[in-house]
Formats: sequence, structure tokens, C-alpha cells
Amino acid sequence: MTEDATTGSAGGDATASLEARVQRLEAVEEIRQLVSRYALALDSRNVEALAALFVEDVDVHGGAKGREALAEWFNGPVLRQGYTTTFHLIGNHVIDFTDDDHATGRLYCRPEHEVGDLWVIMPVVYEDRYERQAGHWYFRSRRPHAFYAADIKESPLDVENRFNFPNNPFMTRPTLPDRWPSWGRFWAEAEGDA
Amino acid sequence: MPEAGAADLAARIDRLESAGQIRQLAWRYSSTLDSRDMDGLMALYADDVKVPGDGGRRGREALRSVMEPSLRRVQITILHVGNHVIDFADDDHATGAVYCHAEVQTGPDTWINQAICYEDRYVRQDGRWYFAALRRHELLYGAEHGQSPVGLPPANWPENDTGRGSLPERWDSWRRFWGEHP
Repeated sequence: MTEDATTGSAGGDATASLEARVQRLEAVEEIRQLVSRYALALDSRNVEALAALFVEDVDVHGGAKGREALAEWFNGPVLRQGYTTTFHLIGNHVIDFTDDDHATGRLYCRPEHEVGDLWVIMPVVYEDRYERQAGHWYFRSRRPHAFYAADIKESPLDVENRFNFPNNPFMTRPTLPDRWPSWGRFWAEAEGDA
Repeated sequence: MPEAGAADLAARIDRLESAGQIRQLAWRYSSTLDSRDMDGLMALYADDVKVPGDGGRRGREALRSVMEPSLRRVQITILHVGNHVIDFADDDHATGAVYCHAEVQTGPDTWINQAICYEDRYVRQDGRWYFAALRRHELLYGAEHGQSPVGLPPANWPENDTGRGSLPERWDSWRRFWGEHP
């Protein structure tokens, strides 16, 4: 929080402070709804609803901009290639505000994908950026990072490179936990002590 | 942004409290059902809850007579709730979609996993939020522990606890999406 949440002595200050605090709570609530709506829209293949969760001037792969281009992108390689049924069960959601109109988030998700004969479990953490436009919160961007991808009957330890997700159009390897700088530091220290 | 009058602030706080209570409702459903606290479970429903089936019966006792037999068919249940979409129709009515990963002991030697999306209706009565109707348990799949959902026959839940469910085909947008490019 950048605002001072203490109430002023004058009534006007107190109201202004309350206004700011209520607005922050509303922001948290809207951002929480955003990630639930994303999963439902994705799993039900509602590409228009999915694109509507992003800022108007969203950057789309390949240099395009805007929701329409994003909907086309979802409607193409992302959702028509590689897998059919999906179920994106979400959990933990860390939200950090940069200012009143910008925030970042980390969301744990345990998606399941039907990939031909495979039923692929791929635990991920989404790295999100949220932005408020015209009084409402949207995704500025989302990037999933996987711990592993394995068939429901496989142990992740038995999977080559911890990633068994044939024909996934965008993800080819797990990037967590190595992506976390603290993970690398933690193990480097152990080596240094040895 | 609306002006921060006291009445406006009160209405906005009210909406935030409602969302918080509705989320609690879904979580309380899990904890009362998993602990078989039938009084606690029934108390989550509006007292005039409409019970599906013939006769158009209403009320918690009628609902209990519908739910209890199905809960006696199974042993341990773990209803792990995730996503919760909430849409307000007005200050006292809302609908919701709740994702749930369920583990259920369906017999002495059988342990299953289910992926579920509950479709809910909520109503506020005397300042408290309740389920307005029996929750719709829409199954994506049920499979025995260690079994893949790929290739399972339809479950026709509640007829069978395992098999492919009504989802994703139940979603209009899913059918439209694949209809466009068969």
C-alpha cells in the first residue's frame, strides 16, 4: 500500500481514507474473480469471454494488439492444437500492488489436459500482471511456468526431462522451481558450505 | 469511479461482504458434508429451498431426505474447492460456478477422484447468504485412484461415480467452439 491508512482528524480525511481502503479491497476481489473467470472461460472454450478479461490494448503473440487479435490467437493454435478437455483447478493466489492501477500476481494452478491417449497433469504457477482500466481490473499479461507435465498414471520422476506433453504448442519444458532465484541461491549456498 | 459518499461506501462494503460470505458458503459446504454434519449442511440452504424431483417440495427437511441417502452410499469424502466465480444479479441474489477436486471412498476397497464444477444459486435472507437451490453437481470425470479418465464410458452421474461427466459438453461455448471447426 502506498496510501496512509490512518484516519485523519477531519471527517473529510476519514472518508477519503475509507474510500481508498474500500477501493483496495474491491481491487483484490476483482482480481480474484479474474483468475477464476479465466479458468472457466478457458475450460468452456469461451474465447470471447477469455479475451474480455485482458486489457483493451493487450499485446498478442506475433506483435498484434487488442482483444480481437487475442481471441483469434486463442481460437487458433492455443486451444485447437494438442489437447481437448481441460480442467484448470486453481489455488493459492498472491497479489502485490504496485500502485492503485497496477498489480502483479502469482497463482498456483493444477491443470489437467486430455492429450490423445494421455491425461496430462501439469502443475504451474502463473506470473500475472493486472491493470485497472476505466474502473475495472484486467490481465495485462499471463505467463504459466510448469513444475512438470506427466500422465495421471506416471510419477514426475519417471518422466524424461520432467515433461511429457506431446504437441503442446507453447510449453516444452518445466521452468520451475529453477526459475526462482531463491531456489538457485539456496542450493548454491549448500555447495559453498561443503 | 463513483464519488465516495457514505451511502455509496456502505453499498460497496456490502458487496464485498457478500462476496466473502458466498465464498465461505462453498467452503462450509465442504466441511459440513465431509464431516457429515447434516444440521450444519442443511443450515447453508435457504429455508424455502426448492427440492428437485416430483411434487415441487420445499424446505430443508425435504432436501435432507434427498441428500442423506446419497451420503450414506459413500464413506470418506474430501471436497477440495478451488475456483469460485460469483455473479451478482442484484444485492440479494447471485449465481456461482465452483471448481472442486473430490476424493471419495466409494466402497471398502475403492477410492476415486472426481473433477466437479458446481453450479450454484445464492440468496440473501435476513442479512445472510444461503444456497437458494440444490447445488448442481456437474461432473467432468470420475476415475479410480491411479486410473486415467481417457476412454472411460459416460458416468451418468449420480448413476455411476466414475466415468466421463456432463462437462465439458454441457457448456454452450464448448459446443460452439468445436462446432465452428469440427
